[in-house]
Amino acid sequence: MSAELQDGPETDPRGASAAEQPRDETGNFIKMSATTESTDSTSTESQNNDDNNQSRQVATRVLGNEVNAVEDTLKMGEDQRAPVNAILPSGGMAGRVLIMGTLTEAELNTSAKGNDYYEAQVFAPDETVYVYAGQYQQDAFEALENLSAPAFVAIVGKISTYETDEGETRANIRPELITQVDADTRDNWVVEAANATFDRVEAYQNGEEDAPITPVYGSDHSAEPFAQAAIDALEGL
Amino acid sequence: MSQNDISETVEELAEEFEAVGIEIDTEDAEERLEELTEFRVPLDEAKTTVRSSLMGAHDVSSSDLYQPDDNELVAVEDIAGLISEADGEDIWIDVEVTILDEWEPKHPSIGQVGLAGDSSGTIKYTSFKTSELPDVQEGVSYSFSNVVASAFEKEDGDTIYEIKPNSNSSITELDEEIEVPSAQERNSHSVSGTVVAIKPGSGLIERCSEEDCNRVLNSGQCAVHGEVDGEDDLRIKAVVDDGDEAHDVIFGTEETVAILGMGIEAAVKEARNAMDKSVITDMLETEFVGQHVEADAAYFDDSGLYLVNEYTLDAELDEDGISEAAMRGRDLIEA
Repeated sequence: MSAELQDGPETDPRGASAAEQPRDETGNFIKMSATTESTDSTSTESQNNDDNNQSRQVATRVLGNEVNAVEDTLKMGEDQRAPVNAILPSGGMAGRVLIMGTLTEAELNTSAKGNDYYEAQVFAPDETVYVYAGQYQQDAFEALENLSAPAFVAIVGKISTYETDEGETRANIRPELITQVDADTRDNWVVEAANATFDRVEAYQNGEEDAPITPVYGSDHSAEPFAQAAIDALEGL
Repeated sequence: MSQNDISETVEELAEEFEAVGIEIDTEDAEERLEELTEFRVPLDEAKTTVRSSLMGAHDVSSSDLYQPDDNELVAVEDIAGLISEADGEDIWIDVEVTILDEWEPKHPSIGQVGLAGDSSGTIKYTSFKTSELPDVQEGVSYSFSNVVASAFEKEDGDTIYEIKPNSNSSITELDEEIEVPSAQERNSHSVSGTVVAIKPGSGLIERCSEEDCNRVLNSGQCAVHGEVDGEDDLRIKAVVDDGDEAHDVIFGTEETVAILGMGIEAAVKEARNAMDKSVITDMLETEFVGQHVEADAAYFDDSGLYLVNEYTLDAELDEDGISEAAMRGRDLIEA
């Protein structure tokens, strides 16, 4: 079969130079403010549409304990649709993530504004992460409607953080897609995620990491515990 | 980082703008660099910020401004990754390629357009008449220095990568020939990773019924033949992501039927019953997302897509992988 080959691709209508992405006056990065009622946030939808605006963000493999340890996210530019990256404590940043684990619970709730959303708990070694699917995560919402715990699931989504009333940071996942997978697929993911974690830790230890780890996690931060957690996860297989 | 480093950076910026005939306010630039670095912005980021605002103030675009940083000589296959690292923005590179195909320019401002490649891949090139660059010829190899590489998102969500030489670039003919794999070799790449998305244009589609056409219809319209009768077909445009790179991969009719578990007629019926084609796409998401795929695919030159020749769904547990990874982790901690 032939796909839609064109005899000469369309010209870039923008001409020779692409539009400059606007930058902030005081520096490139703008800190994203914490949102409380995150499931109703409209910013998620535009972030899910980042494919339309720039090259797609790769899905970073992150283990559950690391997701929960994320303290902050960074908005990469001023544009409302600029991508938001989570700053990973193992060193590095993640725009989009791929997590696999065991769905242990999926609870249907109603937000203060009257919108339905699912609060799902997924055990991705070695901790349970929280996943929220509301009106802006339709595909994931429907998937949760059809899944029953316990089940192995794969989640493609983004890490989002918010501050509790006591000033603590909590991280959770805003899913784009949730699907069921089998045990082997999930186990193979643990290996991938462990290796990805080691890659990040190694880069961080070698000083190759230019994500703002220190401003967020402090100057005496060590990425080692995350490597250890990855080893533990592997040993659990 | 010292005051010297800041002065040096100011000089570098002044030089860059001088090259396009603009004198910048160096005192102001120095102040702003100092301020930014005091706020913990790394110097090279601060330089980029100050450069950007100078560009805005003096109405200079990025492809006008010569950036004297040493560009890496890159392989064609690295370009997508580099652009992604730059958050989708244009980058400056050096690349050595052979011109494979020259195309008919579709816009009067275009000088030359076509396909170039090296042993790692192929990429579109476009030059503009105003840049007054030397013409390149099919079959000849050139060194392209200081060219802009960019990613352009098509309407249907696919990305086209291209190199765009401009008035700051230089194109030099090379004596050696840059080897490009034969059409057959060129058309075989391994793509592996996890399926993380099913893109629009997947599931039940319609193709143009005009002879030899086969283009996917957009709302019943063929880009070439206009409104035509469509022939039903099934396909998947998946994003296969291994954590380092995300590739757009097309799975054709046969492959999609196997993954979906039903043929075209059955899919059409299913969609009719639900009065919605998206039931098929939903089924694809359920069946395919999260699966690990190893595919042998042909690389589509003009849009960076891969069309799968063969694939396997890799679902077996990689036992060796577990122990290798654990060992690596322990070494890392002991180091």
